[in-house]
Amino acid sequence: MKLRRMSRRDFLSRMVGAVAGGMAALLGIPAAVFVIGPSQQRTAGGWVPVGPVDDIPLDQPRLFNATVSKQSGWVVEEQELSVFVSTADGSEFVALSDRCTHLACRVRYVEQTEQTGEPGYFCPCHNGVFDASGEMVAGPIPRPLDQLETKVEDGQLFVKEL
Amino acid sequence: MATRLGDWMDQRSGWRDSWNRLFLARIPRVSWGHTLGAATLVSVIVLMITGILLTVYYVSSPSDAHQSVQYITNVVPLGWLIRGLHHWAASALVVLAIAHLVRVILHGAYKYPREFTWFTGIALLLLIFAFGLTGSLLPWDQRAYWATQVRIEIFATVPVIGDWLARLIQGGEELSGLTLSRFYAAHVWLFPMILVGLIVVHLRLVGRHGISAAPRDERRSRERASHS
Repeated sequence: MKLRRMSRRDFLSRMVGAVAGGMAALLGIPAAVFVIGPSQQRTAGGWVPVGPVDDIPLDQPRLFNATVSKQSGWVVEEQELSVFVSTADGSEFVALSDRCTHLACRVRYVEQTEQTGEPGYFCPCHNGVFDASGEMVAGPIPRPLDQLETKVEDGQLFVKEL
Repeated sequence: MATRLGDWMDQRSGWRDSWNRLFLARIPRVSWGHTLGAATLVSVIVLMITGILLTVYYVSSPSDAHQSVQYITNVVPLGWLIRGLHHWAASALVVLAIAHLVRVILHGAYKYPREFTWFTGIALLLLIFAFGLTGSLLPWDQRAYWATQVRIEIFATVPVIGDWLARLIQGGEELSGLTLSRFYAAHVWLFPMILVGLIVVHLRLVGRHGISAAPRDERRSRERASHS
């Protein structure tokens, strides 16, 4: 192996460069960690009571509005959670988020969609259409409406936050 | 590859010339004392980086300021480090700037033709104190509040305009959320802009005049010149 001779000047300037790079990393890496911070944390959603099951008619879905307190940073905020709950027999419940899967506008229930003539959900922002079970019918929507888990306790319906 | 990219950029920007003038300039024999100015500059850079980072989470309202600082310290990963660096770099800056000033006095480096460099240095020192005054209120805890109260009382003792000045600084009759808000504005907008401007002038002047030789070296070279 041939050793390349390095001048004193070259060696020193490389050392200065290495120290400067080390200092930049020493500050740069913590800076990145700090900015990313808690932004990537996911909190598991809890069960939210939305209302009595007796209030849900058999023929069409009912919109429930529940408030959920969310901690963001050091602030606890009340957020609204809206779900369409429908039932075929009064014992099995399907809860659909009212947020359009395209760009999160609020969808509304319609008796007849233009495309099928059947009941469904319509998003006014870009004419997204879902059928009554939340499946895609028309428009720029990428996936069916989000479905939330449900459970019933003491006649009270709970949905699980996404 | 790197050299070719460097050449390409040099033809279009002349960066090598600036680089050589900045880092490969011939300088007189210097002492460790001559590094104090650069050390001061490094603390300023650390303060700017950590300061910008802190504004990501800090909120300058009386209801949130304290909690946001606690959030930075206890929840944000490495938040304690970024806040700690800002805190200690601020203390280091005051010490280093004063040490730099003492070095300049002892070497007589403030004399002709460097008087204007000296003036900008003094302005920078005063500005550093202003940064300290406004920055120490931002954590919005008991210590910050009462220490600022005392400092504003000191401003109020200025003859004739004292009361007017204290109200101007406070943004009203008492130390309040308005004070916090204007201290924040001064600390992160007004002062940093003045600081950068003054540093640019200060450094351009150092570049223009070159580094002053230590007095004994200057005397020696003058003696050598007169003997020949």
